Amino acid sequence: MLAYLVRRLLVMIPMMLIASFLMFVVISFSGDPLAGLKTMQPPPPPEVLHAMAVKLRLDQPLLDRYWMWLSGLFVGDFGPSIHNIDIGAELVKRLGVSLRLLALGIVLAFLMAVAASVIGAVLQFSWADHIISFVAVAMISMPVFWLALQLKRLAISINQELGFRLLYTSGDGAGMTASTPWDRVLLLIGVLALPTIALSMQAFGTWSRYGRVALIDALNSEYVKLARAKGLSETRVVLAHGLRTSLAPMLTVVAAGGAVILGESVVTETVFQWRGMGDLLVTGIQNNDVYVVLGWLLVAGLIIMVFNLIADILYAVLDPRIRYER
Amino acid sequence: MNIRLHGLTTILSALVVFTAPAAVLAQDNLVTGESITTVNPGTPGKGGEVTFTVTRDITNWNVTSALGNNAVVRTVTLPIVPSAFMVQPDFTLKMNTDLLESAELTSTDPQTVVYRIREDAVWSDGVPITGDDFIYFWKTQNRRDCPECLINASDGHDFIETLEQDETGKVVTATFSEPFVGWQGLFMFLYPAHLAEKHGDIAESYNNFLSNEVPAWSGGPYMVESFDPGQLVTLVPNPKWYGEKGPYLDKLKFRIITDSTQQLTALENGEVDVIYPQGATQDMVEQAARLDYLGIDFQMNPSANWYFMGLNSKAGPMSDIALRKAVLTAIDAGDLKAKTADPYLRNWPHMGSVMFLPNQAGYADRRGARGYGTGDVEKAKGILSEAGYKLSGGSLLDPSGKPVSTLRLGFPPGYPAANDMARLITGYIAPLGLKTDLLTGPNATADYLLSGNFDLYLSYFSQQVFPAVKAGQIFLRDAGQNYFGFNDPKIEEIIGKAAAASSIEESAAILSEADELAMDYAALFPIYQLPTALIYKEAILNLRDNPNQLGPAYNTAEWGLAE
Amino acid sequence: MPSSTPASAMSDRAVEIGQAPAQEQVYRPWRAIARKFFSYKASVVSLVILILIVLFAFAGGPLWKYSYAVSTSDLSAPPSWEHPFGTDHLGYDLMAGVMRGTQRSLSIAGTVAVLATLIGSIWGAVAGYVGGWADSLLMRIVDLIMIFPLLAVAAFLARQSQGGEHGWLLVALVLATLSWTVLARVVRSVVLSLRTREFVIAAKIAGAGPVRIIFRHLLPNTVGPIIVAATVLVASAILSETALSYLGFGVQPPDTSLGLLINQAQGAISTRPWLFYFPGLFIILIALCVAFIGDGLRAALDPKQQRK
Repeated sequence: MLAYLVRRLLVMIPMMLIASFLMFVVISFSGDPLAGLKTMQPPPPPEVLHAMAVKLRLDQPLLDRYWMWLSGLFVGDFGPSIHNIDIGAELVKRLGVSLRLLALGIVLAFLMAVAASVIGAVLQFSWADHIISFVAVAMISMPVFWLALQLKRLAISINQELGFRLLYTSGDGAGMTASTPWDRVLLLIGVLALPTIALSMQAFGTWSRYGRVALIDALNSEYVKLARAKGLSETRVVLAHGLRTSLAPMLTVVAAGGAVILGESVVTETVFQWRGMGDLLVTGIQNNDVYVVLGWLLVAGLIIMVFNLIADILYAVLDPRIRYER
Repeated sequence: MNIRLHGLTTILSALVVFTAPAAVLAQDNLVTGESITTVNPGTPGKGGEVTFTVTRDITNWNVTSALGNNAVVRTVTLPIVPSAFMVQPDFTLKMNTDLLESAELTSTDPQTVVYRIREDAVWSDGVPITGDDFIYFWKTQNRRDCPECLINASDGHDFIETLEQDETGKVVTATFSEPFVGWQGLFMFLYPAHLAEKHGDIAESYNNFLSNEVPAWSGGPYMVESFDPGQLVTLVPNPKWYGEKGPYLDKLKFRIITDSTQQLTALENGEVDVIYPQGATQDMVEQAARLDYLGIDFQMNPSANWYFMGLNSKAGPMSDIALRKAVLTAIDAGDLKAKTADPYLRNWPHMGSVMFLPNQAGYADRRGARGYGTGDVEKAKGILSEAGYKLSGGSLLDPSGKPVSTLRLGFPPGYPAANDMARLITGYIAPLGLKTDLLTGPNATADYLLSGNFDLYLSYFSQQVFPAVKAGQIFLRDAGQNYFGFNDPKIEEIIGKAAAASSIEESAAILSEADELAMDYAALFPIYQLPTALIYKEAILNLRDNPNQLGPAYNTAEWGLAE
Repeated sequence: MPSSTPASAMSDRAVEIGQAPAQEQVYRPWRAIARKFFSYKASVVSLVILILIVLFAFAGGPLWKYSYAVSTSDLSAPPSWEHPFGTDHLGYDLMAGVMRGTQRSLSIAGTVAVLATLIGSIWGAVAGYVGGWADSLLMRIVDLIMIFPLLAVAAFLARQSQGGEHGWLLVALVLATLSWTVLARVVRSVVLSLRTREFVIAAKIAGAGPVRIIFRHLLPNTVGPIIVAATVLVASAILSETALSYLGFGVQPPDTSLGLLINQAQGAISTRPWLFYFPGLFIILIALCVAFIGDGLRAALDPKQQRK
């Protein structure tokens, strides 16, 4: 098992190298990082453009640039940015902001998915089950920002009904202050509510469908039938036996879904004006900020690898049928 | 299974809104009728907070540097950085009487200007503002003392030959190497030389200290208290503010919301108090008009940015002036404005010049005078047949009998009006037998405009207070923004003369001749000005739109809440 | 190598609907499968709606009295009999616009599904059948593409879009390039379970080459899982295109798509809401129908899932 994981990780290293080189080449040829400067009114003097080109290493051959970037990584240097950003420090800071949103979104989606699975499995083929299934598919089918914009309209109506501003439509709370602890709690809720809901809906839809099937499978297993035969109450059977068994595949799916939800968060952060990883990527692409995009992909790739690894470990640990031989 | 729940509620909510009268432009809360320089006046009380929305993050604090020269940095640093002269909402320049006692042109040969700085003008650490600060700024900008300084543009500081101060430091004399009409536009931003000195040489202090470090100093009514990157800049009153008025507010905040649509949502939800979205759209104006019930007013004005369509006279079919003139004649400027501007912009002016805005001295409708923009297809066809073109089977053949290639019409992303105009222009020139390919995309400017890979290009230019200065950036053969191939020594000569005139009126009179010639060249078609929209809570007094490059933050010292 | 598919194989990167595909391949007559599929009401209704949408998109344009390219004099008109979906500020009929947008979105989704299915199933079949180091190499490439969030890479690549009449094709190609990996994993796992089966061994003994075995014997037997995975691709392609358009990296005007339509109308949500809601409803409707059809197909093709 351990050997298998180590081998998997080792294989990823040359793969990441090849991938980073390909990305580097594509990104380097994909647009002029100085285009933004050149289209200013009036454009800066040629010496200034030249100095910027030198700073961005555009005067160096492509291979040299790649080598400088790669060797810089080992000393924590993610390369120069057009906008005087320390890319490494920025990535760390942004990751913190994003993880806050991701963690909450994942927890909310998971709890909702578990609740929905229980209802769906216990009341299989009932109206409640049909409705929940339908809502789940509807959530999967809905563009995140389409939902987010409607949540914002809804929030404005709620605030106007309440007579005070409970819900915020933009910002991650930076720079907002509250005097009393109660106000602080309200502020936290107000800032987090909309983005968390928007982010978790799609994951909820996906996971509740997995969960329902897993729970149905578990409830039909011999082991649960035995528990029923022993005369345990149905609630206990479902919660203690069925749910416990089905949590394993669900958690696995949640871990494996890390990549999906990280992608989703790009849109969510943009709509709600959070300055997390997603925002960094979007502005990086807009500005043709080569090293920002590269650094972003590197970090995102690592995170997803970790998520996948967790998923594999969970899968192996929780499902005895899997053996990692060879 | 039925289609329920979300779908149903959405349809219902949509239907409810549909029944509301749509697109009625009541605009009761559009503040108009007063002079643009005095609108929304009042004597505010002391205290309170105002949150103003800006559209992008700040990664460079030096508005005179290449990387910091944008509307957001300008807005956020105007309350901090002192200026010799300020552009007023009516597009005139006014001396900053808080900083200067006088600024006089004392001689024209050589041109000499004497600035007298007020005794009480000091930086926030109590150090007086002196000639040192003028000299430091001049050295960063003149391209001689600091070629490494990453400036945006010299803006005429290179015309100053020598800059000297007396022993008090409060009288500064500038001697020019050649006459320069735009002298009042110099020293628009001054930086603290005594602090810069402590941070390396000129290049180092300019490129790093003033650019990358959040200013802990101020020479204006406010100073930075804190900065949350990407989110918020908080300003508090400068305790050493020497000006006559203000500051009235306890806190002036700038919140960064990069999406204009979301700015309006945040305003409606009371999260911010003022928004000044870039590129006001019809949706935005209609929604602002509906926010009357929340006590939200708005001001709208034609900005210093004007839409144009440029024609590539360097290469391709548009290198033939006859075809250029025919295209410009076939465009129906009246219809274009009626469809893209008039539905939401009241009494919007046409633009008939490529060198002057309609409210600038020297302006005349030189577009209409040539028959451009009349939509007169017959006249356009006449121009073409005279030049040997033939219309055959719906497509145009050039004088050698070859069909004219499909025109590549580019425009930048993010300007819905440009998209609409491109579609309309395609329709106007279709009767001439011309077809277009509309080209846009996130890289449009670099892909098409900068690389010359276009026949027609829709975009906008930013006008300056001194038209001769701006003309020098567009119409000279080696000018940075000469994208359309202007190549006329006569135009260059006149622009040179206009730039050296002794007054702005004289300069305008000279320059209008160049405007005529540039219009004759038929490579740049002026359309109309982009709108600005300042949308704000009515309780904020003295907040007014400054539709030129400075924006509303030019008078933050006067902002305050009604008592 | 794990003897079974690792869980990360299930991590479809955009939208995953339903459970992991069937691993066991069982011969089932098509007629029985069809009968089973048609017993699922939701799937049948979805199929009918989807067919109607396709007709609306591709045949509606020429039949409808307004063209997406010609403006009318009704500016900002709310929905009415004259303009069932209303008009925008220039007087363009939104129903004509939605028809064209749907057409483009469906073309994108279809192109993605077809290309990704072709590449992914051949890739997966080769990996599964040949095995050994080739399998390792091929599947590591799949792993590699999958560790980058699709939306991020697509945003970057699609940024190169230069508009024009065929701008949608680039977006489709980018999405296909990044999403065929799901298919490769699915097909490989099925092929792994098939390659030791009698009919494959028999074909081998009869002297069939690997190309013939893959195309004549293995791929036809993976059709079920492939179809199911492809339906997921259709839905996810439409949603990815919408997200790209919102970020400004998707289809560019004058070309259009449902995603671009709602993105352009986001400012109109409270002033001219029809511009925002109709294209959005179409996106949801398409994704929803495709999901239910996928459910029906999966159930019909999977002998284990029995309806009580």
